[in-house]
Amino acid sequence: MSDLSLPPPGLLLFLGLLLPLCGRRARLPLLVGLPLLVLALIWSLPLDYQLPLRVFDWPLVPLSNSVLGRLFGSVFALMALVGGIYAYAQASTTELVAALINAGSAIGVCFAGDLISLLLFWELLALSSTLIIWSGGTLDARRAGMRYLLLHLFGGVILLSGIAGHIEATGSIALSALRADSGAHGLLLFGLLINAGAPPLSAWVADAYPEASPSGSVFLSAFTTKTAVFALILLFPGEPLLIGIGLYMVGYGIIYALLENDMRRILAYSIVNQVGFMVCAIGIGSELALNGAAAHAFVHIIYKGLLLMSAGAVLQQTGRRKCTDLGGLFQSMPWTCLMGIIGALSISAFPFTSGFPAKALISAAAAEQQLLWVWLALTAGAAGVFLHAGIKFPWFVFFQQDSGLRPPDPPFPMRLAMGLLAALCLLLGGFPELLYRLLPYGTDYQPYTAAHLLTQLQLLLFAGLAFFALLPLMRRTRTLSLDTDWFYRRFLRQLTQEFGVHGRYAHSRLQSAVQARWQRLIHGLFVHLGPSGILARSWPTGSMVLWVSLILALSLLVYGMRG
Amino acid sequence: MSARPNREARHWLLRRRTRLLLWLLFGALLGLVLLAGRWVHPHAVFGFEDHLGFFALYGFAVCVALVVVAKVLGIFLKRAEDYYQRPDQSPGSGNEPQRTRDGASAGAVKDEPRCEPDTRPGGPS
Repeated sequence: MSDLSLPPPGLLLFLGLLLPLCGRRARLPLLVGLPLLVLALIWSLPLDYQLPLRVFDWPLVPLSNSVLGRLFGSVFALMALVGGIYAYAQASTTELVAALINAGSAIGVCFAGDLISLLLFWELLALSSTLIIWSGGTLDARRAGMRYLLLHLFGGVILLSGIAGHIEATGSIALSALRADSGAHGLLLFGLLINAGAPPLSAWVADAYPEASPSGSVFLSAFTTKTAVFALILLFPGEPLLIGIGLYMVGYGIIYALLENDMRRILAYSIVNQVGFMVCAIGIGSELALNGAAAHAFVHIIYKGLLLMSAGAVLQQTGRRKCTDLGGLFQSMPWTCLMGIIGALSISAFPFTSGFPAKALISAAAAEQQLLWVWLALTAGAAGVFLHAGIKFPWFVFFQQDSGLRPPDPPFPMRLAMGLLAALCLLLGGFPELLYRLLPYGTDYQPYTAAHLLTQLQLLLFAGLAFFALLPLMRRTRTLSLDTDWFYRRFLRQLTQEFGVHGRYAHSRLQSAVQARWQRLIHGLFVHLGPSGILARSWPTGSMVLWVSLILALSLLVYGMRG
Repeated sequence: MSARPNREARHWLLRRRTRLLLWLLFGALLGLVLLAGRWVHPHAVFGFEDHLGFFALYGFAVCVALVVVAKVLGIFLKRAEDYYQRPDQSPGSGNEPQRTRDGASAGAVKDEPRCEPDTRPGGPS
């Protein structure tokens, strides 16, 4: 097999650029065929296969296969496939092309074998995500897309600076495990964390994703943050800073989701919450923990896609996105409701759904390392997930007070896509060894012990009791919650306006001062050289003669005195 | 206003009896998982998590704490949903963000699930 016969799998999805040239009839075959082709290519690549490419003396490796890359690449291709089925009937061509390139870039990162290839696909990811947001078509989507783009270009510059510093210090572009022990590595870590939705810039997730179209947010939720998780596993496994950052994200996601009214924003906050679990696991850094982070990312992409599909179906069928406007939809949208519930149970790590075997690994890793406080926080986070996403999302959207809306379930392709993901959630929950077999490190962990089942049920069911007991405190309000994006959406805006006001004032002061000086100069010139000015007025001939004769007399006198 | 709720609004899941039954079932389930702890003991890594009902109590307490913290933070963080759309006024001229009070808005949803169906005029037909 020659090297040329195996291109980087992600690049295949770039063939999505052909979509606008194809007729509507070719749309679905392309949307389904390309991801399937990518999956086939990923699984036909021998492990540790590398495709070296020399560019400007840099030994690039645009294709480097690994167990971790294969795991993430497969789930990205899977989401491109199912997301394509979900989207193809109603999404715009721009969105579909952007989604395929988005997925292709994410897969490109998974198979990048050096920092430069990684950065290139990273930037393409940001650009294509922006296009997906803009495909939402509303003014809000345009603005949110611009904010997203600016923030991610900023993140890209930080990452580039970190990579440049790393290359300067080591002379190597190889991907290797690092520590945030130098300025360059700190920048590298910060650049990756921006994409993961870590503090202090977590707000972009909930700002941008809910503004995309129903299918757009499904695509967006899958790729950017999880690509960052992949890169963190690769570059910063065991970085202790990540434990604290991850736990903060877990808490942040829960609190903000509890405050939120927009159903897709609730799910966006819960992305940050879930990525927090993964980031924390990467910080713990043991083999069990890294397995947990990878497994959790894998299942999270699937159930978060399912949850956003169910929310997207509600949005498409009702045109409403606020919990205050929804409710009682289970009566007319039973399929969407059921799918939403399966997604909600999975994200809550309910036994026999896919979240259970994945989250168990992370919790077990914290216990294995004797990290008491981390374990307690993770357990609290698990209860909080059930509270904010497991019950809150389905309850306020499909049950609670009847909104009187009776829309039907969405068209067949959307129902099919949801069904496929729900089946995967149940399959991976019921047969966790299918998932464990794909993980980077071999594991014989047994998630289904009587004790583990019981403790998890106790935790979740009593969290559920707390939800219903505290419902009066969780009334939905037509509000948004301030976040760090306030600084660039309000504070900086006002600051520029403030500068504008003062700038205009200073400008007018300066202008009037210069003008006054100029006027004085003109006036002075006028006084001296004007029609009545002393230097310009005409003199009488008599005085001329007088002065000439005087001067002549004076010169005669002077001449005479000399003689 | 006093029109009888129509048939569709009284979905079987919304009937008072069903709701009561669901609550009873939920209560029984809670009791069951709590009691089962007498016979099934988790492998205690830290030495305290095998106490009967530790996870139940912890899950409940954490959720209460989270809701209360969210409620308190909401006082400071919540703004009207058009907060960012509103045109900025000139600085220093009452540009203070307005806070909407919980439940004050017209569309605020009642807390507790009500099995009484929609009694608004012209409810779902």
